[in-house]
Amino acid sequence: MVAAAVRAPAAVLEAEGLVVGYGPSVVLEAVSLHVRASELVAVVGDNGAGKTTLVRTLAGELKPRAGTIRPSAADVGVVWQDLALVEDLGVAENLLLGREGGVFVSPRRTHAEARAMLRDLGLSLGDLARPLRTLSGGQRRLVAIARELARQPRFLLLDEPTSSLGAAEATAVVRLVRDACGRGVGVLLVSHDLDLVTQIADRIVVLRRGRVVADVPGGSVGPDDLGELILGDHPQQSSRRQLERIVWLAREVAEGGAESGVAAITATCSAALGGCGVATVLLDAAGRGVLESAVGVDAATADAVLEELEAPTGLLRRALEFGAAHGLLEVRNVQWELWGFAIRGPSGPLGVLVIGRDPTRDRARPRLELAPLYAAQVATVVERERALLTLAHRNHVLEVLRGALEILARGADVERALEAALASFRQAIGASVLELLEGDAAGSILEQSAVPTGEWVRKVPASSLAVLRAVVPETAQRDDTEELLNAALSVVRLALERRELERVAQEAAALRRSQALQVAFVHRLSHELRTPLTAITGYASSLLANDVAWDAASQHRFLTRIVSESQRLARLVGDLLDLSAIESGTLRLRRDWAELAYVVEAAVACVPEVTVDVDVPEGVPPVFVDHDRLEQVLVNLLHNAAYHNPPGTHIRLRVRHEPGRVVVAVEDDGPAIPHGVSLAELAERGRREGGNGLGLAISLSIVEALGGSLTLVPRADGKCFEVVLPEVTESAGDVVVVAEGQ
Amino acid sequence: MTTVLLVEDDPNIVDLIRANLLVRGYDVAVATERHGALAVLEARHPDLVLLDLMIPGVEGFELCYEIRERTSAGLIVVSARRAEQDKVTALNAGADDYLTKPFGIEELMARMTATLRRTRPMQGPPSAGGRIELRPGLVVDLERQLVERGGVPVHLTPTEFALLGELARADGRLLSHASLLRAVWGRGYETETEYLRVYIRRLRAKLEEPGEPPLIVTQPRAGYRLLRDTT
Repeated sequence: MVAAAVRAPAAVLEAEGLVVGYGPSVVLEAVSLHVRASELVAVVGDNGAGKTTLVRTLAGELKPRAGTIRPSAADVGVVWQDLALVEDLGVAENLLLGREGGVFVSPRRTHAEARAMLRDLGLSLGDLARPLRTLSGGQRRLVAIARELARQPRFLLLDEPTSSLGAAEATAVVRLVRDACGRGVGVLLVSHDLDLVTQIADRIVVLRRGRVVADVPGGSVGPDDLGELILGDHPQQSSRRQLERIVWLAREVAEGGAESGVAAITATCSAALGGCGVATVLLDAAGRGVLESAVGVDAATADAVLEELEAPTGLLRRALEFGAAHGLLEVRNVQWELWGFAIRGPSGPLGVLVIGRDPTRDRARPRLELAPLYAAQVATVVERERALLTLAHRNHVLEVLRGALEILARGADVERALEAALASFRQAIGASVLELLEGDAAGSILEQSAVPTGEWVRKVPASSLAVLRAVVPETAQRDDTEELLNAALSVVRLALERRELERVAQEAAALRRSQALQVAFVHRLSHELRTPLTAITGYASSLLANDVAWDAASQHRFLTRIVSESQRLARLVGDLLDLSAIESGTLRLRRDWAELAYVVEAAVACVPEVTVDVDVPEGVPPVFVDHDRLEQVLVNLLHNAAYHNPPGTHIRLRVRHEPGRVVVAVEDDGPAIPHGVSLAELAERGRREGGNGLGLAISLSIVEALGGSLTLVPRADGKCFEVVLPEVTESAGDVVVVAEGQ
Repeated sequence: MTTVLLVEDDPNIVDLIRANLLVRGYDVAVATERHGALAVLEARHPDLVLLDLMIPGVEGFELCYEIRERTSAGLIVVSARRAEQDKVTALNAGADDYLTKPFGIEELMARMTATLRRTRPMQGPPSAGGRIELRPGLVVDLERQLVERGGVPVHLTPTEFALLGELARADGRLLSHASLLRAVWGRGYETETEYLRVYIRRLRAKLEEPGEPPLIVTQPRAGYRLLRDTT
């Protein structure tokens, strides 16, 4: 404080025509600039532009070869990037370091002084006793700047004061600096941070290659303009464009844009390399080079280049082996200079990026250092395309597989579902034939010694003997075919398993049903047979009982009942035999031509207990039936009508001729059969009411065996059973007569 | 006069049984279906019911339950079903006996007599023995055909009571299957062990309390006995 008072204040820091160099190299060439009081001047420039050299010269550390600096370095304070603080000392001690009078012996005084200093600066640094090493980068920067400001320099030089600081800490530093400006300090600030510089500087000086190329007011330029100023001349602009190209390409590649193909990269590469010839050669599945894209190379040259590449010691092989290779190639009197750069993906070599220089056309050597970047871009694109292709292929297979499984899952009928699944696979594979062979066909195809070209034969896994055979065009992709066939095999296997399951389930169900029917039948039968047996046994044992003397009427009644029940038993046994003959398929029908009138007459005669109203019109054609069996059916129907209706029920038998058939209807006006009860149910049920269950079942079977049908015609009152017989031509009947007679 | 309800719908068998019962001095009521059977049961209080399981319109065993719910009269099921399971089901449903078709008339008469003797003991010779306390609070009065638990009557069917009486009189001794069957059901029933099993189960259900030691002890393949005092 005391020292500063005697010096005359200098309004401007001025440097004029500074030339600074190290040894033979010149770093600053005639640099002139000035910083006024309260002014914040920023110096920007590329690395090596001479910024730090300028600061060191202004600070008096370097002696310029030529030029002048006013005022002297004594009025200038400097804060270097390396802050020159002592880590183990406290904040207060660091603030007072290097100060005239030094650090006070008493910590209390030291701290009081430091606090006063900070108060003057409007800065708060918390506990001043903390050792410096516990402070953050930004706080240290503040300590260093505060210490320098405490010396009250008229000008302050700051070398990268905000580098590696976070936004909040950078703001604190900037505020401290601006406050200093506000108190009249002229600040010269060197920074890389173009955004910060354009925001805070009053003036910006641009250094390029040791020269001041611009001195512009702050606020008049943006960071981009500054960048242009910093890079300046043509080569720099071109390198910037290179950068932009590569950034653009990288972004395109990452986003999978339309312009990201190999051709686009090749063209961009050619442009970047000054318009020289560029060819992208990719390896095919067999490892041969294939020209993918070429720019600036005519077709003949491209062919020649490819040939050269293919040679065992050619550019391609060497580039793949060493990463890069160089060679000469003469094509039509032009001596091409070729460079090859390996294109490598994560899975191995993908190809070579070839750069050719036609010496007659391209004077300069291309900027080869960029080539590996483009090779890498190509690798990225190719890898991505291959990944996409694999993905698409996989999706395709999955799609087909999913479709097939869906068909299988949906179809109630396995056979049809399997057919549909195979059809979809055949289409997916592009096969002319895709078939499932089973049994002998499968066996014989497996035995054939040589499989014809284009034919694929695969055994269905875990099947007894099933083979999938495909005929595939040669153009088909082997991998695809293989994969789709494998998928088809799994689907077929599933289908076969399901078919087997269904078959087993059906058999089991059929067995259960037949067992249940048999059990029901046996139950019914046992009752059916025991009822007459019980009566016979009961009556007979009654007659034999010693303790009772029956009167003559009772004895007669008992004996009559025994006889009738025996007949009932005999009829039942006969029915049973018929039924078992029908069910086992051994019932023999002796068919011949029969006049229905006679059959009806014979049937009615068998039921003498009731009166039947018969109506057989003239002109009914003869039917081709087993006379006895048809009579049995009619007797049964009449018997049911007679015995399962209240006394006095009217029974009618009517015959009618319809086109192609003859119908015999047995009707009664007794109680109707409940609505919805079918003939089959009726036949299955009801044994109590005199055993018509068996009779109806037998009648049904006989009529069906005769090629006709027995139906229950729904009626509001009474019942109506109809026997429908087909009208058979004479010749057809004769054929049957001959066949059945043998 | 002894009244018999015959539930049967085959006219021949109705005629046969009715003739035999009438000639032997029984009063016979015939029902051919469930409703008629229950009506007769209500109106005539038959001493014995002969029930055909194949009655139209109702599951035979169900009717068996319904009849047993309404009366403690003797109940003989007459059926063409010969399966052991059918017999057990009928007994469980409350039948006292089970007769399969076809049957001789003497067999029917013998079974009816046996069942009536058991189910109408009041009219037979008075049972020996008096009141026996099987367990504290559980008393069987052989003479009055009563069982009480803590003074409250326990309802037993005559066949159930006959079985309990035999066991009680034996006073904890083991009674063989055959001797129990002969004593309760009569001669000719010695091999019908499922009758015993069903009725022992019914007695246990009515008399044994959960948590108590069993009242009736099964001696496998030998017989049953009462476990009277557990102390």
